[in-house]
Amino acid sequence: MSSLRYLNRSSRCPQAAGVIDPMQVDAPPEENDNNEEEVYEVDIDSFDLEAYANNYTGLARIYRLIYIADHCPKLRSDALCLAISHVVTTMNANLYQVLHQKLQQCQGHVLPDVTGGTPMDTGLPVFNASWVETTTQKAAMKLEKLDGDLKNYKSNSIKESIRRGHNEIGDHYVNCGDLIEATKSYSKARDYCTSSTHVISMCLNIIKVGIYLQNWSHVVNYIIKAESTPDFTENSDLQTTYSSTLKCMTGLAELASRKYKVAAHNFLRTNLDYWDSCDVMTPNDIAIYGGICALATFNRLELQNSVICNNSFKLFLELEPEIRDAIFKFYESKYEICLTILDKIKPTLLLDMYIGSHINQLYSNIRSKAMIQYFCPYDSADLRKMALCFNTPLPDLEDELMQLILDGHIKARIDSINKILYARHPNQRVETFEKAMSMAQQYSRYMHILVLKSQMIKHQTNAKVSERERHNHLGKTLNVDFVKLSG
Amino acid sequence: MDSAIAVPQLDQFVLTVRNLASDSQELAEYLAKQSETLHKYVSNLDSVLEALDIHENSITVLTVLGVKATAQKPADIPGVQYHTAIATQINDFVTTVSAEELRILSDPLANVMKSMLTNLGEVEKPMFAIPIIRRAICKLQEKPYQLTQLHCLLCQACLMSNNLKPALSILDQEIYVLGTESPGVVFDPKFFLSYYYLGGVIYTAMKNYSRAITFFEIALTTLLPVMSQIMVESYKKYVLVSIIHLGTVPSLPKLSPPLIERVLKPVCQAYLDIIPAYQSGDPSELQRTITKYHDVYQRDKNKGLVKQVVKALHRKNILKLTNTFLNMSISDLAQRVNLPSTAEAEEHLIAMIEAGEIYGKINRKEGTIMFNDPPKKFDDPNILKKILDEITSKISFSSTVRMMDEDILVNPTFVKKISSEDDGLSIGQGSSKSYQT
Repeated sequence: MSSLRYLNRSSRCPQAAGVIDPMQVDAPPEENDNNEEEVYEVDIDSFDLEAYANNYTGLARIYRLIYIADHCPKLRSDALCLAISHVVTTMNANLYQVLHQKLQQCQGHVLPDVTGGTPMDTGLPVFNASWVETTTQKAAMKLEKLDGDLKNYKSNSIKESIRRGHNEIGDHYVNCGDLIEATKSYSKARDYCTSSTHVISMCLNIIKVGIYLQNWSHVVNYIIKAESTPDFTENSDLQTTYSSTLKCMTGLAELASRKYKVAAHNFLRTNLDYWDSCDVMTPNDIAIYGGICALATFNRLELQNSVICNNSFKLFLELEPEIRDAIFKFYESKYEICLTILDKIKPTLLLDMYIGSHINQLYSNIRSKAMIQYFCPYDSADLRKMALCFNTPLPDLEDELMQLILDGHIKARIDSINKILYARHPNQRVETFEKAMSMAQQYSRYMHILVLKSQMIKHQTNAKVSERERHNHLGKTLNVDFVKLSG
Repeated sequence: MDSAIAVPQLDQFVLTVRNLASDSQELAEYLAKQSETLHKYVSNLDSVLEALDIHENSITVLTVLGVKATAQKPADIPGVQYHTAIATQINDFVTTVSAEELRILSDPLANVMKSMLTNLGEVEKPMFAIPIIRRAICKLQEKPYQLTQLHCLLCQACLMSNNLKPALSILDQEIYVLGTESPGVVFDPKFFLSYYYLGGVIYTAMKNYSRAITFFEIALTTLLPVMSQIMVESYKKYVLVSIIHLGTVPSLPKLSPPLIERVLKPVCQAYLDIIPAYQSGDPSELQRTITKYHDVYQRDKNKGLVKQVVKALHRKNILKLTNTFLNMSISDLAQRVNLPSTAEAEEHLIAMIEAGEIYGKINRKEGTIMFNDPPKKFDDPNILKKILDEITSKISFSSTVRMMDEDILVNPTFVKKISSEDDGLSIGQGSSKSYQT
């Protein structure tokens, strides 16, 4: 995703776009950036890019294609071509240039020793400089026109028209790929909002741009702003219309900040009937995000109550039967089937731009949870059967179990020779005794230090008169640098 | 008797100190002035000592002994003979002089003893000093929980002679009081710091790590907010010993302010970097850190402890396995804890089983180890007795604390301070204030 940030940065300074160093794409994310992205590559056999891309529109579609291009070498050129074909429909000249550069770079990787043939032969789109020029001009002209309209509205001081004018300029900026400017004009519309619906739609515009920019704190701020709009809490119509969308956005933001459980709760509270895509996500995505997060963080009871018996979320799950099956199998303790299903869809999930970088973490959570649940009713368990159940070779299973035991999730010990896992029954009496003893020791140690300190203070007060002299003397006799700190 | 003194100046000296014996102030001034004369006639000082009565002129005798100990040794007598002779004289002084006199002279006595120890160390007879210092400590102490100026010297003597046992009986006694109770006498913190630092070193050498940690902790925190190099060295050893013994470095008591952070951490980076390397559980990672800072450890003479850290890591990794496995093959174990050979793993296992750190049995024939549960503690009467002893000692400690609290309550300065302050103040607040101003 670092490349996306880079895109945004480059679009902020269009004049610099011409001299982009292609290597910059892999530049490490800024240092103050906490959520560092994992770098991984996906190997996938069959993936219908065309159909995938058709689920989304606008910038979201292009960004998702770029994400796939970044993480899947096999699909890279196809994804880039598709992305270019979509960029041409917008006015985003910068992105067009960047994509072409990526494509060239990728060609260099794939066909390093093409000597005779011209690039035309490959049937790839060719960089069209005149398109860039005309598009830039067109965009400027349109901006000018919109600006003129806005001035006109302002002189007439019709609030509603001014608001629309600002929004149109914002839309235009999004179309050109200048997201920072888009945020600015969307927020300018704020002063001209006359109803709560306007305020919320203004917030939604900004949230959408924020998601494109991956500026999650901004997104969260505006979600809170939208939810605290006075009418929103009182007017139930308004609430039903917008709350699902807002919950979705919150879920996405929480997912990005790795708070999977909160994210799951938010996704689960969306309702398909009142849900507006905002171009960012499809209902299928919600089913995936919500389902996987819930599977990774919920306990059995929560899974039963908030996922399996959740009627509104069921509609989402129907769209992604694999996720639904995985959840149900997990609940039925058929971990083998559940994990097989999850493994099957893993490559596809890894190509998703929002959940992709979290998949490994979430999957390992699900595995650990499955193991903990598998063992909890038993006193002893055969590791061979367990290995079959979890589809792993024995040594790996042992390692995983060891980690779980050390982390305190499973209270058991492994019989490595007979390959049996035995539950452990801790002796609470001994533990309590040991705890009490160590507490007592620590307490008396601190007390001792306090007593000595009071003695020290006593001797220092005795020597108060010649305090300075004493310190000098001490420094001399110890023959060291005596740092006296006033603190 | 006087005729025995060949040098007239010393003759004069003996006469004067006899006359001044009643006036301690003037005597001290006179002695300070005369030190040059005494140094000049070092070879004749024995006659002076003969001429003086230890009970009446204790301070003079001590001064003369001090001059003898610090002065250049005469060329014609072998060093061993000369220095042991002085030590015997000092010993005689310590045994003869009354306890009260000795207490007043504790500071100069410490200086004399120190030069004596240095001299004996030079002739490689530091062991000779141990009984003398011990005797002096016993005489100086009114109560066993008192710290004297000589405690640190005893530790030093034991360390110099590689004979640590004699110090243990003294070290095992907890200290609650510094120096004498008499007002006006200041106990120099250097004695305190050196005692706890050297004591920590001795306990580390004796592998009594928990005591060592306690000692370093005391050396570290008690004197704050004042800092000294001894504390820095203590902190280095504290970190290492804590890792060896506990696996982590416990947070210091709350009374140590962020100062530790600010002052110690930058100086001890080489040591602090060991902590994450150790906790990663990866021996190669630890080895890398150690190689990186090798020179620092060499310079600080902490190399031995650092080596122990590496061993401790293997032990910790094995201990981890005992918590997760009931039994396993030793080759598997060696692989899991990254040991190069099965034989080495077995060595570690045997050592740990013998030390009672883990409980298990090695099956040589099949090459496996079986870990047992630790035997049920807290069931047999011995443990109960231990707990009871612990409780008794805590009770006596608590009564000591109460006694000290009462001492503070009746302290005239404290009472004055409290009565002059606002009556609404509670005693607790007052006490802390009166001592910090």
